[in-house]
Amino acid sequence: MKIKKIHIYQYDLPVKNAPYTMAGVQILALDTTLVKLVADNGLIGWGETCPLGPTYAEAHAKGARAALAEMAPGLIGTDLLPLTIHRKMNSLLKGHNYAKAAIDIATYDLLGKATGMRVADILGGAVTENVPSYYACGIDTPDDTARLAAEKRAQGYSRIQLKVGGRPVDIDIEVVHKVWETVGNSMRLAIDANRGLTTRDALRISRECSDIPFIMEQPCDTVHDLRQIRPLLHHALYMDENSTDLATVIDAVGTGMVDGFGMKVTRIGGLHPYSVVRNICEARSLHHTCDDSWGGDIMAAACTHMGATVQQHLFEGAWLAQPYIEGNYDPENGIKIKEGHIALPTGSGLGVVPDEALFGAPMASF
Amino acid sequence: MRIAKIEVYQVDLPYSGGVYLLSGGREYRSFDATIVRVIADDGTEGWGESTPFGSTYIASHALGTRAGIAETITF
Repeated sequence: MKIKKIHIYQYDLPVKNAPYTMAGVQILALDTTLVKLVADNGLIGWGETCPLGPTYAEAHAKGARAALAEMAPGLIGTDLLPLTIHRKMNSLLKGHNYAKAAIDIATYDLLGKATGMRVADILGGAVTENVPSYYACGIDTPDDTARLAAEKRAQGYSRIQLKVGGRPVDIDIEVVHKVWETVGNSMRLAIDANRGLTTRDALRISRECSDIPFIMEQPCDTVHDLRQIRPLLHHALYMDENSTDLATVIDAVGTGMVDGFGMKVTRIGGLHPYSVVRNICEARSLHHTCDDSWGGDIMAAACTHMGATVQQHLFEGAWLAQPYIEGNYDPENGIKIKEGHIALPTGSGLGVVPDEALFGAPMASF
Repeated sequence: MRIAKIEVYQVDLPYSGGVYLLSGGREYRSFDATIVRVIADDGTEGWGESTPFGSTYIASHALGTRAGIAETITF
């Protein structure tokens, strides 16, 4: 089975109850890119990549489409097998994992369609049909954040992530205490600064909340910062934004720098490299999430399938943009979070098939 | 002085020596250059250039250069 055609679509995903605030940036709508791969036997696979604006990571929507246009002519005729596809993509373009992820996801969708298997089973085998999610609370006041945490606990979430950073650190410390007083011992807690704290403030949060068992996710900007604060923290440390490729993950794990990862499908380059991260984490008993920065049903399905394969005692949940998005690409089997969990789709491949009329004409075809 | 206008040009720069070879069987015959003219509100002009060395030398490629410029202009 080989790639016969590649179609690239652009679609604006509006944010429900806009804006979504993260690290001081307000987000109203996200520009997503969808890839439709057509195989020589006529089967179709879908992939997606949706950067969270142009400053969250070194990724932006126009750049995704430029990278896909760069690679697409050279991918025609390539065997639809993940390792082969990745080696071919790497021979055509260095870096740009977030664009390669869309081709990777579509390849797994096609493999599933061709074999009748679900992507989770191709990735090694689902260990659950009901994948836990976690809820991320945007930056807010202590009282409102605690109220939201309690609401999410009541809805069925077992883990909550609090966004911090970009304001006086004593407010962040107050938020952590208030949330713990409200939902402590009944939810696992993550504190995520999205690179937004100085080492000084990260250490202060850890010191002044030393009796609260949260994990600290990507508190500071660089790997160097994390390495500096690591021995001084009272809390487990997870790497998120810095883990941009497998080499960085191996280094972080091998040097004992982290206790886990916030891991994203597009940042690491798709499900094929993600499964390597999963296996490395399992080998060293490290925890990780299974997320993406943003995206619709295709991205949500990719995260859910991967999340279903992670040993559940190591799994920190799948974060999806779905609660922030109006509607679904697939009106019948669209991905939805219910009671803090995501039902693993039952159909072959990703198990979601978008209504492609939504996306209009492809903006490029190869 | 502020930016009034940005013009983006594409030009192919052929390698004068014919074929330039790199490890891994990489062959370069021409380089896809992006040239930018920034025009200030007082009419002053400045020129800039970014010409990636193909698409696999570093994580940089010509279509991405122009996509990145378009992103910074419109965002």
